Formats: sequence, C-alpha cells, structure tokens
Amino acid sequence: MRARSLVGIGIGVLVAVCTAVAVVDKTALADTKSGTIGVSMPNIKGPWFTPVLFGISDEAKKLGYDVNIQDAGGYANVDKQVTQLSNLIVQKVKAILMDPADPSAFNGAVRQAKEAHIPILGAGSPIVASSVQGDGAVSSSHCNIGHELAKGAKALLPNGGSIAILAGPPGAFWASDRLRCFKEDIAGSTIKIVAEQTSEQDVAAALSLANDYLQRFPNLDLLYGADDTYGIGIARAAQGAGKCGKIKILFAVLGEQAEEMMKAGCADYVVAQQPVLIGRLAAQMADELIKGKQPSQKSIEVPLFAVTPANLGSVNKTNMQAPKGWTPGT
Amino acid sequence: MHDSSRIEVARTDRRERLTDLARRYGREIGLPAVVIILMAIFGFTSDVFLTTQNLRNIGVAAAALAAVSFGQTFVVLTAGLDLSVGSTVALVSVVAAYGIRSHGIALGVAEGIFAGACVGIVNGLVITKLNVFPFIATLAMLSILSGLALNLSGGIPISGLPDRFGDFAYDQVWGLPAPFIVALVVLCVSHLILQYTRFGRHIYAVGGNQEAARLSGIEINRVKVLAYIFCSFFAAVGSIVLTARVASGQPTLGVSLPLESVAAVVLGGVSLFGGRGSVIGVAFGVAFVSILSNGLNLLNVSSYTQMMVIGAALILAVAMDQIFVRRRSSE
Amino acid sequence: MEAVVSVEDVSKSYPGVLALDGVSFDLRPGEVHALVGENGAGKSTLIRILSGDVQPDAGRICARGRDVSFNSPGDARRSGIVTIFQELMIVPDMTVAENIVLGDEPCAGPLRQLYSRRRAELAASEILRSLDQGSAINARRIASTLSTGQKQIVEIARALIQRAPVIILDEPTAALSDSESETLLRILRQMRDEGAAILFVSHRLEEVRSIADRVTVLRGGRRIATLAASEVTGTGQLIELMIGRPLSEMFPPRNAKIGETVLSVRGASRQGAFEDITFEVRAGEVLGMAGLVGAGRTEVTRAIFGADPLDGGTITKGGRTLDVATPADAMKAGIAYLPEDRKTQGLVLSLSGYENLIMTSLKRHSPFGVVSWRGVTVAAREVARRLQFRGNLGAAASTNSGGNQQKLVIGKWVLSDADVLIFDEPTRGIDVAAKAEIYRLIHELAGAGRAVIVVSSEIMELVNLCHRIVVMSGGRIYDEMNADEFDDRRILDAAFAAHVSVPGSLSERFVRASGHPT
Repeated sequence: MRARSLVGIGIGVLVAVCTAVAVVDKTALADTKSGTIGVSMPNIKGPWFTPVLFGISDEAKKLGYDVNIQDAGGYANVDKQVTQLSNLIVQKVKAILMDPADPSAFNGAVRQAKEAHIPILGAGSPIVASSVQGDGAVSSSHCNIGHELAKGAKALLPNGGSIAILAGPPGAFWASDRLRCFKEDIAGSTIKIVAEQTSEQDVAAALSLANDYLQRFPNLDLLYGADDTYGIGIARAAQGAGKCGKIKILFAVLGEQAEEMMKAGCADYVVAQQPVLIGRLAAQMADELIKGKQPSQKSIEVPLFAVTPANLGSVNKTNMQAPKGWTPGT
Repeated sequence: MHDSSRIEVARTDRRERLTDLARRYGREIGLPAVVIILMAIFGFTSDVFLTTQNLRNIGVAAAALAAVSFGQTFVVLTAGLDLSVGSTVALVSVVAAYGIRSHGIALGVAEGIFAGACVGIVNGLVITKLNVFPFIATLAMLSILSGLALNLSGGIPISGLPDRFGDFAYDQVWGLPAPFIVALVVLCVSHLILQYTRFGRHIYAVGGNQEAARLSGIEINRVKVLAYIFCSFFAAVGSIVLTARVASGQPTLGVSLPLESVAAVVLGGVSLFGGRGSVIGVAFGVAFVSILSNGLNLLNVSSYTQMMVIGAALILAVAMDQIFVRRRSSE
Repeated sequence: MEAVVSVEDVSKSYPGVLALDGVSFDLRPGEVHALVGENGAGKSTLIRILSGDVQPDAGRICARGRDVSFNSPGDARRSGIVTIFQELMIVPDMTVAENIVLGDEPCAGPLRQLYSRRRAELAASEILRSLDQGSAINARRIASTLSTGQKQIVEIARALIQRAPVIILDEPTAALSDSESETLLRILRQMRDEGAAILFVSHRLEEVRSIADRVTVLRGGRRIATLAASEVTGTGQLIELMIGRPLSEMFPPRNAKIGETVLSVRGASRQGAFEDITFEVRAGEVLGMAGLVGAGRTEVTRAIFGADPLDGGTITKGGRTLDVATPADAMKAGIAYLPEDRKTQGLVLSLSGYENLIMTSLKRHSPFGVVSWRGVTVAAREVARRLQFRGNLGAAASTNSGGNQQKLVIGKWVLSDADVLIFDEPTRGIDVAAKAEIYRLIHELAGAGRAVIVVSSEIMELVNLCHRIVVMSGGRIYDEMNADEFDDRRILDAAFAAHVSVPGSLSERFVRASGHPT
C-alpha cells in the first residue's frame, strides 16, 4: 500500500508541476498583438547571436509582434534545431527567421514551412536550406568577410609573415566559408599559414588553442580568429603571454569584449558586422511578407567595415551591439 | 494432512494472486495513465498540441529515441547498461553517410547498420571476456566511438546525400510518418524476440538470477553478447532515422541519447537490476519523454527547464523501482 | 551392479584448505545414495565437481563407463547429471512454468527458436501434479510470490522434468515442511524404482536412514565409510563416523536460574499474519515457538524486532512499554534477532568475519566515531573462540560453511549485549556437531541471565532445549506448556489446530519423521 500511494503522490506532483508551469508561461504570453514571429537559432548566447536577436526582438516589438526564440544549444544539435523548427510550424507562427546549423539538414523542414504558407527567412545566413529556397535572407556574405579579413591580414603584415588560424567550430559553414575566401585572397602572397585547427565555439577552448600556437611557434606574426569568441580567446592568450602588440590579432565581429580587448591593445583588426542591423532588417522583411507585400530586395547584404584602434572611437556601434545587459530572455 | 496444508496454501494462493496482479500490472498501468493525463493537460493548455501535424511531429521526433530505447531494453534486462548508444548513433551516421554517397542508399544503410552491430560485438566481448563492468566498458566505448566518428568525418558533417534519403524522414505511410513506422517495427520485433523466443527467455533468466541460469546450462556469456549486439543494432536503426532527418552524416549526433534511453527504459518499468520489464512499457516511457518535451516546447518552457523536469521524472521512476524491489526481497 | 557415475581419487583444494583428498565414490542406477558429513567435510565440493561447476585438481570422473570432464554445468547436464543446489536457483520474476523449463525451453517454429508458452505450462503442470502440488502451485504464478518451500519444489520439478538418469540433491529438505519433505521422499523413491541414480546430501539423519540404500560418510575431505542400509545400526553410529568420536551429549542440561519476566507481549496482531498473541519470557529462560511452516512464528518475532509493523497490541520490556518501529529501536531496547535466512538477512557476505561480528556493537568500539580495530579484533576473537568458530575471521563471510556462518550471526548478537535474543531456525542446514555447539551456546546465554526465544520446526530440538513451548497455528497461539508437560503429540495437535481436523494416524507419521535420535 505504501508503494502505491507513493506512486500516486509522485504522479500527482509531476502533473501539478507541469500544469503550473504551463499556466504561468501561458499568462506570460499575452496574445493581443498581431501575431508571433518564430526565431530558430543554433545558439543564442555569444557576441554574434545576442545582437542579432536584439535587433529582431526590438524591431518586432515596434512592429507589434511577439517573438518566440528557439535555442538548439549548439551547432552539434542539428536534429534538435530541426525539431524546434517543426514545432514553430505547428504553432502557426506568422513568419520564421532562422540561421541553420547545417543547411543540408533543413530541406524537409523548410518545405513543410512553405506548405503551411509561413514565410521563412535567413537571419544572419544567406540561405535556409541547401536545396530549398527561402523567401528571403538578410546577412553578410561570409565570403566577403573572408575577403575583408584577407585585406586586414595584408594591411597588418605588409611584408608577409606567418599566421596561425583558429578556424571556428567544426562543421560550421559560416566559418569554413570565411576561411575559404580568406585563403583564396592570400594565396600567392608572402603570408604563410603555418597551422589551422577547428575548436568549440567557446572562449576557454580558443584561449587554450591559441596558447598552444604561441608555444609551438615563438616567432608567429599573426593569429586569425573566425569570429570574436575566438578573437577574445586569442587576445587573452596574448595578454597572458605578454605578447599584445608584438603579435597581430585579426578576427571578425566586434562585440563588447572585443572592443575592450582592442582598447587594451590586444586586438589589431576586426572586421565588424552589423548584427543588430541584420536582425532589424530581417524583422522588417518578415513584416512585409506577412502583410503580403513583396520585399524590395529578396536577399539583403549588410555591409561590413573594418575596425582598428585608429577608428575605434568614431565607429557607430548601435548596429553592432545590443544594449548592455540585454539577454534574449527579456 | 495433505488436505490441511493444501488448504492453508490455497488460502495464501488466493491472497497472493491479487497482490501478484497488482505488482505485475500496477506499474504497467501507472505510466500509460500518466501519459494520457499529460496529453489531456497539454491538449487543454495549448491549442495546437492535439493537431495531426503536431502528433506526427512527436512521432518523428520520438522514433529514433524509441529504436535506441528498445535496444537498450535488451541490455538492461540482463542487468547491464549501454552508455555508448549515443556515440554508436554518431558513428553509424558517419559510416552510413559515406556509404550512401559512394554506394547508394540501400548499400549505404546496410553498411551503417553493420557498423552498429560490430559495436555491439565489441561491447559484448569486452564485458564478458575481459570482465569489465558494463558501466565502465560502455562509458569507455562512448569516448572511443565518438573520437572514431569525428576522425572518420574530419570533424565536419557529411553532406551531399541524395534527396531521396532525406525525404524519407518526411514520407508518410497510411497517414503515419515513415520514421514512426520504423519505430513500430522495431517495437514489434523486440517484443517478439523477448517474449516469444528461447533467446528472449534466456535474457530474462540471466537478468533475473544469473547463477540459476548458468547452473541450468544457459550460456550466459553468449546471451549477454547477443543482447549488446541487438542493442547496437537497434541504435543503428535509430541512427539511420536521425540521419535521414538531418539529411547528412553528423559525427555529433545523439549526444543526449544515453540518458534519454535509460530514462525511457526505467520509466517504462524495466528494472535496472535485470530480469523484469517489457518493451511495451518502454514504448510508454518513450512516449512520456517525447510528449513531455514537445508539450513543454509548445508552451514555451525553456529547454533548460525541460532538462530539469526530465531529470526529476527519472529520479522519481528509479525511487519507485527501488520500493518495488525492496518489497519483493523482504518476502 | 555397474556404476552409472563414479569418481576415482578425486582431489580439490582451495586457498588454505584441502577440500577433497583422494576421494573415490560411485553411484549405481536404481539406488538412493546418501552423502553425509560434518561442516567442511567436502560434501559440497564433491557435489560441485559432479555437477560440472568446478573441476577437480586430480582424479577421474566416469559417466556411463567413459571418462568425462565437465567444463561447465551444461556439460554435466548433457551427460545426464542434474543437480539441485542448496541455494535457491529461482528466477524471481519469471513464472513457475518458465522456471521449471529453464535452460531447456520447449520450442517450435522456424529454427526451433519460438518459445512455446503453452507447452511449457502443460509440462510444468504435469510435473507439479506428479509432485502432488498441482493445486497448490499454479504454473502461471510469478515465482517470487512462492514460499521458500514451494520454491524448492519448483527447483525439484525442474530437475525432474529432465528425466535424467542421475539426480543430485544438496540438502533438499532443509527448507521444506514435514509434509513437503514427505512428498519429496516419496517421489525420490518412485524414481529410484524406475532406475534413476540419486545422490542425496542431508543433515537430517533420520531422513537419510529412511530413504537411503547406501550411505557414504565424508570427514576432512576423505571418504571414511560406505555402508549399505542394512549395515547402519542407528544415527548415533553415523554421527560418530562423521565426527570421528562419540558425541555423548547433544543437549546440555537446562539452565536452572530463572529470573524475572523480561519481555511481555500482549494481544499483538498484524493483519494477515497473526492475531492476539500473548506470551512472556523470563531472564535465564529458553522459550520455544513451535508450529507448522506458515503458522506466523517468524512474523511475530519480526514484529517484536521492529522489522515489520504491529497493527495492535503492546510489547513490554523491563516494565516499560516499547514502541519498536524499526530494528534500531529494538536493538536500543536490548532485543536481538537471528533471522531464518542467515545469508540474505543475517550477514553481509562480502564483509569479513570480523566486520560482521562487530556490526551490532560498533558503537562500543568506536569512541568519537573512529573504529578501534584492536578492540574489534580482540572482542571478535574471543567470541569466535567461545563459539568454536572454524573459519577464517579475516576472510569474507561468504567463504565459510553454513555452520560457521551461523556462528558469525550468533556471535554478532552475543556481542551486542542484548538481553532478549530471538533465534529463528538457528540450526537449519547445519551439521550435527555444529548443532550441539549451538545448543550449548544457547544454554550459556540463558545461564548468563539472558532471555532466549527459539523458533524451530524440529520438535525434538524444542523439546530438549526449552523450558517452555508455545505452539502457534494459523496466526494464533493454541497451546502453551512447561517442560514437564512436553509431549510430541500434544504439540502436533496444537500445530494443526487451525486446519481441518486430522486423523490420529497422520500425526504418528510425523513423530516418526521428525527425527528422534535412537
């Protein structure tokens, strides 16, 4: 008898918890606006995704929409992101903004969205799936970022030199695209790549890898980071080894911490994107599609610019970073 | 004299029949009831939960976990454990993707499944011949297989698979999603093997009382190795389903599967001490986990909270298992 | 007559002990051959060799005229030797039928792999009926719900269904009630008449005498003698052969110094187990609890010890009413309990003898929470000496023979300073010499002023050991008598009182079978 009553209590508790959670969350989502825009990202943390999400959320709020943000928890969780996308479709959101962890995995899901007549757009990515077209995209071309990075490398090493590369997370196409175009540009120049490795998108992992490089190549001239998570790791490693200023540090995306590193003299050239602007434009395009209007441009390319210690003070950062302390949960 | 003892024994017999029934089925009725209650709650609080499309989504998302969990059942019934199922899924995904790209879908899938079965052989041999505890052996294999998968794939996903393969995850047969049908087939095959074959009976015997089985002439090592082979084989099937869903070979697929499959197995009434439980219960365990995460998703509960809820449910299930086991041994 | 199985000059040693020393022995078809001997005489080892569980270090085994070597229990089975061990080899979550056909499941279908539940249940029901248990044990029941005795019967059914020419039984009746033993012996006789060779190991010498055609006595790993039934003059002769010297007295005299009432139970009840139990025990007294298997004696003692809850009634000790909700409470109140199943409930088999002995008195040896191993060793050795423990205290408890294990359990409670000790079947499965030592110990404890309650199914044991006996039947107390009133017949009548009335002739059969030494 004791066992059975315990079972009953356990089930009751579980059911109560679920109901409570459901009720609480439901009330949080007051359904009075013009609908919900779904957002599906491989990751929501970090200096890239946070400003994009800020741009989307802020603009969506202005336009009168709610935002439902789904976080797959990492580039490795492709299957989870596919499932989350399916869930958004079932919830009949008004539009979906997404950044696919691996475009070839989303063909089926994107097709489902189109069958359900939900406009689906790339936000921060030029494509949503490998063989199915989305309804639009707002991004900066990763290849262009690669070209800009090459420009930066040439600017920092006019007489050539050796560089080591932190290539980004394994399998992320945005990182591999950048690197590919970067290599194209520096081919044939006096700049030589002595090492190249992928690693987790995590500052600590990047720091560890950068330290490795510094140890193995005492005469290294430049370190390349795929984005600012890697850049910050590199900068900290250089700081710890006392090599700021002696070794050049090059990466993409200017987040808050990247800025600080640059001010401290540990970052030399950053190809800045405008993730907040990307987010805003994506939300606006979604709005147009929801209202049945054809957007003026199906694929918007948001310009990049190079930030160095020289122009750091004068750069307009509202399109690059979210306001201090903003998190996707708010 | 015979009469009197027979009467007393008969009285106890009747009493025991009722508690017999309760113990045998109480747990088994409990979980399906909870699943139904859960569905009712979600149906009530979310207006899209009970739509066909959402139910299909649940079926597809649950299919891989189901196949892996049914395989895991074989091993847990022998009082073992296979923590390497997640990495097996990753390895099979990579092998199958390469195979499909080079030799076509049918052959590629076969190669993947064969790789999965081989993992089972290795697991089984390490545990029986080298006498390593299943927990340790499969934990080590988790690491080895994961590294192998990453090595083979160069760390990046393998794309370029024919569309036909990826479409399979979205196909429907008689209105049911194809992956769901696959899971159903695995369920039927597992049930058949466990309940209706001699090998199945031997699995229950080895888990229920290994010494009794051994002394009755059952070759326990052979039974255990076969159990691990079945486990990895079904994990491979699950991997094919998952790989089709993401239309690419992913060396990092299935990371959460060891925990989720054990959770489904334990929730489904299979005792971690072996010898007790059935895949039908595990099917409900899988349903519970999948419905819970889908429902909470639709209600916008963060995935972090979902992790907490699943973990709490697992503790609850194991605590209940302990109560039943302790009850029995006090007889 | 040609032997169907024989061993020649077989030896086997384990670390530190020579278990078998050049034993030669044979088993003929159509005989019941009993194997007797003290603790550690080598009976179990010989059985394990014949059953294929272990291999001898030296010597030959012949089966059906050819030399054989068994690498696994499966080999022995295939050679026609089926063994039933002392430990219950039941798979608890499977049905009775599945347990009976374990290892040889009836199959059909492609590749002979499809298990035929129907055929298994039919075969199982048939065997159970031949054992006269068809109505008592349903082939579909889950094995864990059976009583210990019924589980044993299922194991025997498993061996019988093999129709093997050689059946070995290791202490088969140890856990059976008298009626169940009677049934088993009947079956064995039947099989012997049909030509089977049966090897039967038992401590119940009366039983051995009643069924064996030949008796082999082992002592110290050697075969001392093999006697035909006609050559056995009495159990006394067998006992002397087993221990190598005459055992003049099995039962020491009863303690004379009886003191005040120590424990008093009034109106105790527990639903489904027992009702309105009232009795008391005094210091220096040995109280016996008699009754059939299932009468509720163990349930009562467990409730006194707090292992099970009481639904009603009171327990008073030293004038104070006790509220024992857990064994810890009982221990604090000075009550000790020696369970029926010493292996699973009395010992931690993986711990050493030392650790088991001091388990209940740890507090005394660990001031400030740190265990003083010197104190432990001294106390443990002293108790082991008093109990004539013949094992290795430093080794894991599981390495000891049944008798020595029981001494560990007793020793544990002796050390605990409890003043009420409850012994539940203390000498079950223990050889004659060890039994005598335990009886001596019980009287020593009584002599030291402790109160002892002994639950036993052997009337002879109770009658010779106790000052008073209480008889339970069907959950109630039906009779209570003092030493001068002890009468086997009266005890049996009370034991059956809760059941349909019994013709006199049947209780006579009981008196014979209960094993009086002659």
